[in-house]
Amino acid sequence: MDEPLLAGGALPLEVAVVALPDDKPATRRSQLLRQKNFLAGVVLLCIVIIPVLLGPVVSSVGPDVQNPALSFLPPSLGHLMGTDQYGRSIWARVVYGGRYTIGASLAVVVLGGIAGTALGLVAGYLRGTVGFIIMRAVDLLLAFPGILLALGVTAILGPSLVNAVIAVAIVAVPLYARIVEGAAREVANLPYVRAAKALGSGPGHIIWRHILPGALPGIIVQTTVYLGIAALWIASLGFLGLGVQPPTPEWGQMVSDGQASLSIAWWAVVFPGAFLAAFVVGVSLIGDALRDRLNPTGAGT
Amino acid sequence: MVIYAGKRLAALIVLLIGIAILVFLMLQLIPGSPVTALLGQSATNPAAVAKLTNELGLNRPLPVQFWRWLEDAVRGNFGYSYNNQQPVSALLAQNLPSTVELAGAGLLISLVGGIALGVVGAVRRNTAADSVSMGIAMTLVALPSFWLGLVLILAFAVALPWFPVVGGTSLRGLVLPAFTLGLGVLGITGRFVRSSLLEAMHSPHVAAARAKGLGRRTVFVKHVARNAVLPVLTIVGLQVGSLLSGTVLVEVVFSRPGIGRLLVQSILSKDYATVQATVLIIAGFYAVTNLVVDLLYPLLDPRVGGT
Repeated sequence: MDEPLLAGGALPLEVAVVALPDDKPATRRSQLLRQKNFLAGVVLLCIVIIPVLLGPVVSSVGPDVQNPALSFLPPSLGHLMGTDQYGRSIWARVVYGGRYTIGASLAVVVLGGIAGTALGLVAGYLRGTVGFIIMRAVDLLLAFPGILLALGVTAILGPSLVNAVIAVAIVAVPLYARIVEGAAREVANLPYVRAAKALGSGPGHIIWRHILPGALPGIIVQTTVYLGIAALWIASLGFLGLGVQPPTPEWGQMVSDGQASLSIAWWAVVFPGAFLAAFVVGVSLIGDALRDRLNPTGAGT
Repeated sequence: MVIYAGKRLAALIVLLIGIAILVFLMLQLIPGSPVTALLGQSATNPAAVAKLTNELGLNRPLPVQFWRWLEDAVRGNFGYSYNNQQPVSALLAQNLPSTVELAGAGLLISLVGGIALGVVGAVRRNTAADSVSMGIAMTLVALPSFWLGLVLILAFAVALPWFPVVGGTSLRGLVLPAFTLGLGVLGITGRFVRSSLLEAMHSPHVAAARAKGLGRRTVFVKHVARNAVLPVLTIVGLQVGSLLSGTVLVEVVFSRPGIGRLLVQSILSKDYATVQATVLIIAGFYAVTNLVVDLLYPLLDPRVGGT
């Protein structure tokens, strides 16, 4: 899913058949569409994130308050999203659970992003043997389907939220490293970087001041794209029992909790998953719009 | 062509060895000795410990151990699953067919649906139909598959009792799991088909064909679609990875037998021999599929492979 080739988005559409191959005007209409998508993404994210941030303000009960007398109540004004088998409020659990799913995904992109960027910068700027070894290791990690790699890492580390974050971050490392390495390689050859080198700037200075800014658009795009994937995988690991452990309300773990009573209490499954889906769709809408803007060469073609 | 195929094959072998090394090292990274990890509850039996230590050659250097393990794996001997009381190869043989069945059905659904969405998006580009089909594609990519599966169960097994809740081995039991798996991948295919069709529409030879006075349909079928096949083939190769990893969640949701569920169960029960074997099989299969795609390329596009 990290392929820039997968972008739908902006193409010189009105001019379709007769356009010259390198003619790439973004038509007004496709620009508008892009803005609309971006706005839709922001709105979706706000719907999801605001209650999660407000937490106790929007939920009078805590996520772990049990009340057997209230078990399996359907959604109503008193219980917005109904209750589960222990009488816990699903709304409260969804609102508090978002902190785990979203927080863990953010941790994933920060950890994986920093490690992958560092490796990519080193490999792209220094090249040589070190660069070669780093990039072959990257190729090897990319040979595993992502979730399989994450599962393998959790098999080693054991199931927990922190280990799930580490596992999903490890999957992100080669993705960042590949993008950053390409950008760094390109920038390192530009005349102004060669000039800086000739003037006696050290490698640290050059990487920080010249190479990193050049790689930044790619890093930003990769981060928005991967944030959604990270949320999906953190929740998937939670669902499989390999991430967050009960009773912590993480969205994927909540879906797994609700599965047992699916036929009598659909709300325990539908709502946490819907919040997760809305978060991921929102992030990908924004990611696509950013990709078209920041990365015009990769967009659409 | 022969040189091209040889190079690809050599690269595949290097890659497979790399994958094998990583999977082998997995066991070394687990805290505690590999013997206790592999034996699980049987680790209290000194005879079993001594026997396995000898079999693994743990007193030998690491490369020797790796070579032994690899030799066994290539012969189809992946060790013994003490949790299941049977050889890992037998477990794989029991579970592999239903996973292949599921992944195949999922691939079919994702291709049919994805091509339909992509063609609509490309032909009716920048219209409401395009927005709707690409909106569907994006949403499907973003939906958590484990949740989609449960929602499909709610709709088509609980509310409308058309299909069984638990996917058995029957054909009817395959429908919901296959759709859950296929719908997740379909979005990527759709977006990819759309962009490669659009790219083909912009090539000079298409403009020439139009200028020659050929009809839209003829141009689309003969000049656009043909050139869009290649990129789509690549994505099919990549999707085998998504499909195989998708089976992990789908098999758990529908309690279907398969190597995905086997992998999760063996991670949870710390049955490391089985974990190693399933990871090796899935990653190896993924690498081989991508080689097959690479080799199909020059057959469809004579420009590749000549250089």
